[in-house]
Amino acid sequence: MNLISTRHRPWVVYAAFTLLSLGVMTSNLRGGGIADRLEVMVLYALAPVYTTVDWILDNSVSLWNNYINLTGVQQENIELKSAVQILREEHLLLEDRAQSAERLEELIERTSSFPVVHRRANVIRRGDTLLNPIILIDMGSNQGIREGMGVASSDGAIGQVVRVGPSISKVLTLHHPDAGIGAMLQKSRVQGVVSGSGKGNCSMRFVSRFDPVTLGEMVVTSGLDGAFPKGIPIGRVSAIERDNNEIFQTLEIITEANLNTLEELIVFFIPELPPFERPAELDGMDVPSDGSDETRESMDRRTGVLE
Amino acid sequence: MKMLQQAIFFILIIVLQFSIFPRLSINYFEPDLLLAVIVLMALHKSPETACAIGFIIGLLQDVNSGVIMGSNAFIWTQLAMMNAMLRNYVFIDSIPVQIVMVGGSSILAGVLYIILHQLAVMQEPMGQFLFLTVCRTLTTALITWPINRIMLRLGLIAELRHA
Repeated sequence: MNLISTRHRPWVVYAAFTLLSLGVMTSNLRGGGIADRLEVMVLYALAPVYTTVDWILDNSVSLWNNYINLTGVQQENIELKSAVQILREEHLLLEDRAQSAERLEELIERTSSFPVVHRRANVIRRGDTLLNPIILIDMGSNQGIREGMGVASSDGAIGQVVRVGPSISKVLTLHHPDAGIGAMLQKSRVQGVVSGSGKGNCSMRFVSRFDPVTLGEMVVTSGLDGAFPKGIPIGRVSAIERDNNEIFQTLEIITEANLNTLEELIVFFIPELPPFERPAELDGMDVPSDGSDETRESMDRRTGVLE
Repeated sequence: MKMLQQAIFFILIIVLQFSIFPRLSINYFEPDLLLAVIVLMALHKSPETACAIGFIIGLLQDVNSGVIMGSNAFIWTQLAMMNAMLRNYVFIDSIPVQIVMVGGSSILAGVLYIILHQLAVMQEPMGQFLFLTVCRTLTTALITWPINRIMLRLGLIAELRHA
């Protein structure tokens, strides 16, 4: 039995798919579950294809570079040997300085009490900085990846995990306007948030216009966002936008890491902070936690401050 | 056998579009193979099939990009339906007509993308994006003919269908 006439069927199917896509879009904008689940399902289906293609491409490139294209290797080898000699001497000097720095660090108890664990992941699909600032990595919930984890390359911070499939995850890079990483200037320790500027590069926002900033200064992660440890390089300040009518200045940043050449990444597993422990002297007391004057007064009275 | 060849063709197109092109770093001149496939199929298949293919491939695009999930599915469903309707008014076997249809669809996709993202309050560099759309339209139009020949050979589209 034909419920819809042949003449109207194309329009009904068209309307159904249009409504479905609008539904997915709305669900995604609201941060809803349907779009997220759909995305994870498609990622799950694509994972074997991407992993296989990536393996084939990587091996072809390595075969070409390591066994076929060996022109000038002998000359390069001689140059590298002399460079290694110089670096060895420098290394000995630096090792000694590092040891004394370590001792000092221990002395002033600056070493973090929450060790940061990180794991290596391979890039199986990379986008571009302008339209497609995302990366797919070959690790997912099976390897303990969670949404919000920080991802970096050997050059610097890359972005955060936004969607997790069983064996594949999607990383939103710093170049996306929706990205946001806690950052600070390395020398002046001025803090802000780094996100995509929408022009294919990044900018650091929420920096007071009275804070001193110099061009070329290194921007590193502040470690306050719970995604990255402190001190991972992000990039260098390339321009400063300052408006006398604005409270904040915006710093344009050229990132250290190049999205087009990424192959291996590090995912940071930062342990969550332990829950706040109630002080022993407050045991048995019914203390509201709204921080109002009344609350504070009643707390002071109970703990004997007012008496 | 034909079905297997068609499946391999789709997998190859997806692999080329999502894995190999991004590695080549040809951002501005990256042809949109999937767009060409959708337009060519929409010109030769029924509107229902065209809408379904547009929606599914659009979703694939969404997962592989950092855009709002569903936006490409929406855009490509519209383009598929538009091309499926237009086939009654154009001579679809002519390669220049197909090139114009693919090029026009690419530009329209770019415009719809900008409108959707402006509505969703996403910051997009419009000038740069328009330039990118024009460059990609040219390269996509260029690959229309080889894609058409492959699809004909695989039986994905039929030959000599006059309007």
